[in-house]
Amino acid sequence: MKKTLLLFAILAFTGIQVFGQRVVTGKVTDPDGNPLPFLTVSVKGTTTGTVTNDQGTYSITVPEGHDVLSFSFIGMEPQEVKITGSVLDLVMQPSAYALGDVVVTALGITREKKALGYTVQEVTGTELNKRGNSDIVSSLAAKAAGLQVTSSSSNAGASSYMTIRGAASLTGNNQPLFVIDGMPMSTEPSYRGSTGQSGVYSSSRSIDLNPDDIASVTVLKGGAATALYGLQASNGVIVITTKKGPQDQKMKVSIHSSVGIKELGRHIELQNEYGQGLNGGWRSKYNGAWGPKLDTCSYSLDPALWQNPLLDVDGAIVSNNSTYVPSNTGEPVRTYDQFDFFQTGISYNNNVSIEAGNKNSSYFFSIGNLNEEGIVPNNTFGRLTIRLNADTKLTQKITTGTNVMYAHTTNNLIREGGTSSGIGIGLYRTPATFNNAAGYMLPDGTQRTYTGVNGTYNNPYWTVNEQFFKDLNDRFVGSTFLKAELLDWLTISYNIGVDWYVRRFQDVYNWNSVGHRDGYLRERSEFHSLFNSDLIVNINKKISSDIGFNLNLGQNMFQKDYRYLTGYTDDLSIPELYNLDNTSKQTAGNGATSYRTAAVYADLSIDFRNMLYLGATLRNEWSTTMPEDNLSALFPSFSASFILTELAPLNHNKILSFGKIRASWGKTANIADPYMTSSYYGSGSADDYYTAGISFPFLGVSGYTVGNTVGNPNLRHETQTAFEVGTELKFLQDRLGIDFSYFNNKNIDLLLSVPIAASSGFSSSYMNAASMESKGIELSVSAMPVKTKNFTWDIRANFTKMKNPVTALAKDIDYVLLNGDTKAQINAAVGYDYATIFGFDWWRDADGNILINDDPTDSHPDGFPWTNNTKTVALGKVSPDWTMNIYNTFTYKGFSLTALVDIKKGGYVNNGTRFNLNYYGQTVETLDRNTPTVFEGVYGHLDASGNVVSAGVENTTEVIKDQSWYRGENSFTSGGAATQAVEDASWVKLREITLSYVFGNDILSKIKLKGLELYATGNNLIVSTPYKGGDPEVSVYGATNGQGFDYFASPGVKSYIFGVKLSF
Amino acid sequence: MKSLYKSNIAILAIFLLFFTGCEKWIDTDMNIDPDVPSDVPMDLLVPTMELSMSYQIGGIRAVKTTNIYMQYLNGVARQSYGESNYILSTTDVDDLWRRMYYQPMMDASKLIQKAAEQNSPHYAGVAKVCMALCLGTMTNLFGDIPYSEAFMGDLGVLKPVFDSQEDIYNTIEDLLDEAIIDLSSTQNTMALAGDMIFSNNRTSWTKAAYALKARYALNRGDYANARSYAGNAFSATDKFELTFGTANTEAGPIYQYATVSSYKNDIKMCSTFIDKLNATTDPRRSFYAKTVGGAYVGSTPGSEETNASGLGTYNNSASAPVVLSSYPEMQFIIAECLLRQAVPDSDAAAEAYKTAVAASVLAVTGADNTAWLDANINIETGATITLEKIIEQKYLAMYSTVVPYDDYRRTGYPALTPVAGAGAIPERFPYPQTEISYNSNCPVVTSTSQKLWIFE
Repeated sequence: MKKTLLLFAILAFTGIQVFGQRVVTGKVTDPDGNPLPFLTVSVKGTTTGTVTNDQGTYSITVPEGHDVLSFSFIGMEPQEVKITGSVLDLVMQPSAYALGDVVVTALGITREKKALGYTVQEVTGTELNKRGNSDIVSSLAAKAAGLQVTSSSSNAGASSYMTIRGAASLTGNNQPLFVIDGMPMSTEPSYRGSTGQSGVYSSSRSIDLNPDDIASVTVLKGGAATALYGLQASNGVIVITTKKGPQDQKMKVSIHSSVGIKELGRHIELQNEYGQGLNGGWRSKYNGAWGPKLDTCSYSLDPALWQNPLLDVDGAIVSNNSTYVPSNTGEPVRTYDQFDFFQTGISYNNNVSIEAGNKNSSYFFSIGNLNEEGIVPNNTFGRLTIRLNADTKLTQKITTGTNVMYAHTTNNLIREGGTSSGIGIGLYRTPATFNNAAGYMLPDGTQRTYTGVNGTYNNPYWTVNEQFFKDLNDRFVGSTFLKAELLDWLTISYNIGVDWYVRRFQDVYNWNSVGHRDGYLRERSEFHSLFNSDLIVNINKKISSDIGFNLNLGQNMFQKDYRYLTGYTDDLSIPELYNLDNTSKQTAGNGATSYRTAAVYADLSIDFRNMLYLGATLRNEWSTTMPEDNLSALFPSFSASFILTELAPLNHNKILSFGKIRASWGKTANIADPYMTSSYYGSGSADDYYTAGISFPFLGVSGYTVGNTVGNPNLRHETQTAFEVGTELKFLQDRLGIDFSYFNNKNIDLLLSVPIAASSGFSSSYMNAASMESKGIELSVSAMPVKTKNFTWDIRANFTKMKNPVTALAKDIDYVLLNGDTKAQINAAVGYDYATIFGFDWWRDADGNILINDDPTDSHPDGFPWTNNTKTVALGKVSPDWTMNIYNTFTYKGFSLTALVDIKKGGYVNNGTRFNLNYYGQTVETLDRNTPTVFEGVYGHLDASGNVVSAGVENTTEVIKDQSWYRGENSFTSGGAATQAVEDASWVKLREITLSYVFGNDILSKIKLKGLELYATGNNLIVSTPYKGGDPEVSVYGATNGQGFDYFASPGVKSYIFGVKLSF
Repeated sequence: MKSLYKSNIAILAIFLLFFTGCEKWIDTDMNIDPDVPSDVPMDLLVPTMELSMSYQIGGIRAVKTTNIYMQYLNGVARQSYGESNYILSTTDVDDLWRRMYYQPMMDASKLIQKAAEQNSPHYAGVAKVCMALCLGTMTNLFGDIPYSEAFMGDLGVLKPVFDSQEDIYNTIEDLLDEAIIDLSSTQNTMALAGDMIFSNNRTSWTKAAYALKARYALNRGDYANARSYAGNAFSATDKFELTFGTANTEAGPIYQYATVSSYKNDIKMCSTFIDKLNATTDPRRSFYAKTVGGAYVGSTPGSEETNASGLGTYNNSASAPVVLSSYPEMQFIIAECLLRQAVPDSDAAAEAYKTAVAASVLAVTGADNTAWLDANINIETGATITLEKIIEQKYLAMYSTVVPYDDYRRTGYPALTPVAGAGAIPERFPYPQTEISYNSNCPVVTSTSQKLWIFE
């Protein structure tokens, strides 16, 4: 075999020498096998040249005496290749610093990047799926400027939250619109069982996409870039293009397999020096670790002391002093690391794709299968995806095609967060002396917990074994298009598609689960559907040799439907039989939501001498969710781009190889949620914060109540005007590139359901309630500091700094609650950044010094600060001051090492976990419980009318921060002022590090493969942060607007992925 | 060329289909929620008003917290432990306030409005009695509260003013007077239906109106009227209460908290109450409390002692009713009024006292328990009866209601020793956080040891 090849090569080489002038043909593709059209091919040392056609193929006549072809293409590494035969196929490597010359913009319209008057940022499929990540949203983290991604949890299948250029809406959806191959796609997480801090975090439905199917992602950051999308586009648009088959190519099979390992990452530190109990003494079943210092204790097996052997399996904990000598075992007290509960999660991801094409048709077919285990036992996520993209030319002028995707996901979610039946509370609050692992179920079926039999919180092992939340989704997305080039300058295309998914979940608690003593079962089925149709007429004319003209006229229709059917019972007659008939009372419910929009739009662009580009769009849109006399809205946008380097003095300049300035202005809008134009009655119910309560029908009677939300027949559209100006510069033959933007988005008449005083008879009112601004800068820098024959070093960095202040709220609205609990709230308030943490502070003097009580007659102990519960104050903003990510790539021959460092500066998180665990004596912070402390502050107190009295004298009183202090018994509010919980959540993360090796052609040809790559990736291996909790990148509220809240969120995760990609 | 022609036809056909299908695309009728009604008949509002009112007035915040203050119960963990040490935050009281205002009180307000529009005063009468009960309960906990501008969020009033407690008391009286007239009206269009408390019996509702008039006149110190109202109120067989179902999803609020919820271990019976019951081996004891190790043991107020009796079946069983007012309460009011009126009649007071206790014992235990009554209660005469004895027995009878907290603040009985180091027993609830946040008219309360106007 080797010999044959060698012989062939010699013959081929000899042939070249012999035949003189000859024709060389070939095909040029990118590393993913996509053809590269319009690529320049020239014969080195001659003026002979050509370009590739739209299938990436070329044919060139090589004059005698020349044997090297050069290939160049913007965005690709230029290559020179010695001719060795009459066929020369080539795979071009992208140059890391160039962001690509041609980009997909709104409505899938492909544009030259230099023609755009607004920023777009493209992320290639190669970059996205390199890591074997399961969710496209989390894969986009730290990949583009202005884009912020937050994962709600480290669990398998958990939801992610993403915003582009800050929040545009106060309480509505701030996540961008996803458009996949021209079809809008719903990505919001569905109903998740229960709300608030409890419950599970159902996946964002973007997880149904297989990242391996994605060819590219374009991030459109709002304003002029997205005005063509009209409604829902004010949060930006993520335009996803999936892979297409090649034309005129034999079948190629690609396989991508990876194995991932997840491990427990950063988590809050718990103390193990003091045992369960209070006042320094051990007490069985006690909810707190204010017990004895363990190094002075041992066990007693005396039944008089050891009353609960089933719970305290090791024995009673007694002091080593003489009182207990007769029964004292003398054994040192064992402590348990509660975090041993977490496991190593293994995941397997396998993808196979087949692509091929003939002259008229092409197809891309893929199957992907993912099985993921979280670090929490029994937390699993599985996904099967199938995709077929096929195009065919019916005639020379008419093309049709279809993209079809099916996804089946199965997710077993584990309850986490601040709920007594989740894992968080039961695990973090267990004192080090209690062994949760020593059995979670007692012989009679009751639950063994550290607070007793069927105690206050679930044993975490109970939560993962006796409760489950099984979420099944079946999704079908299909779209088809017909495109006809009626005339040279006139094309009509029609794209129609549907996105359907059926979701079914079962939420189950066995008997003796906390909160559901008699068991619980909820079954829920949901049907979600989207319909979208776009008809586009394209007119493309060159008016003169200098002026080009391109006009798109379009019409869009869109419909969204959602319906659900649910039944539940809180009372299972037989345990572990999860059927709705297995009860004395079942409750059923159903609901439906639908709306439609329709739009007409125009998109005009004019170019002048490849130097000046002007664009304008106009879209008028109607929506059924708006009041009858205000159904429609008009959105214009304008943009301009000027290429400096096309000017004669700058042309072919050695230093500044490319320069562009751009500016744009655009208007977009959001519509009201469905059914908000009037008020309704609701089905009756009664409950309180602590109990599940009662829903009608009650005792066979049905009942209704005045709805809690005030509807509004006078709603207006929520509008966003976005202004952007920027420049893109490339230096030294593109070795250094800078892209800078300044943006200022004004969001007016924001539609939201505002919480109002209950004495109004309602809890919220839907209205145009607020205005908000988001302004900032984005800077992307790309550079190639080292470039030698075998070694290159690329750097790409994105920097974003922005402010997102709330500028106005409606009359009688002082602030809007986004999320929160009794200790701290995330609010939007005028003059403050969107999402600011509010809560009670300490009493302070006029200079802001904390008051240390010096009044022996009041009810607060002297020497301590105490809480000012008369008003809540701003304690910190959630959004960062700035973020930066740096992507370094080192390439040596086939080896490549990439490292993504992600930096977030500023931004606070309410660390409710730590605050709360202080109360229970669980944190390492509480180890100072017996050490005298002097609080920083000045002496002071309140007079009879509540005024601060202080002479400003510095406090020197020594006090003991004992259990009363940590439990806030001295400071009126349980646990003390919320100030203590608000922490700086800045971070530096080594988010990703990947080492890969791409096998060269010499080896590939021996093993008969077209491509082979091996890689190893580590995610979140280093996290450096002052945050005193787990991962600072946390949101206990899942993919919602109330970010910045940590309350018993799951710990961070480190992961490693090992993969192989091959094609033949 | 031929195929181009064909495809042009095809495209034209798609166009036509498109525009014909488009006509009704933006159909504004789509924006009417198909799942909830825009209007409902009054008989469907009544049960919700009654359930949500009973669930709140007999529930966690109103009853549990005040019963912890009154040392019936002791909170041994978490929020309840805070309450037993008189720590109650502005956010803790949100749930009661909010649910009272936007559930039963809003429904009552809507019913009063609808009844006027539909010329059906019988509905108005029931709604006014409920509104008066809600206002009375709320003002006795919070003092000044919104009413005159409340329930108008749909008319754009988002920050209602707070009416003084005196105004609220006057409103209560007006509402009850109107209710009595409305309930007896002969000009009524829609017959009363949907009532789960008195099964649409207007006579019973009239008695309830008198009972509430008596309760609130007593708080005002208007003994003569209070006594006469109480006399017009319930007879021994009337029950102003809502009964619950046996399933967890239909169970009463105390059972849902103390048996079903994850907070069930947070409260125990308090030693103050248990010791009083133990002292006379009160026959109601086994209904009020469970045994622990074969005995009735109370947890010391303000402590974390968990080894104590849990709540008994009286309020801690699934279908246990929420008692809104009762015949025994009326008899205690009569007894107190007779003793405290301008010209006291202590003999009659002693008799009313005996009737009251006997009625309570019968209501709680289902048996007369004559021997116990003879030994402990029927010994009183006009010469021996005192206010303290009346309130002491009223305290034992009115467990699991808000009334004893009113009585304590009014009379100082029963004599309770506040938890050491926790300050005095609070005189009121703080205002809720949401009202402080969203309604700038909300008064500032610097201390919960400020006495309310009505109890001054």
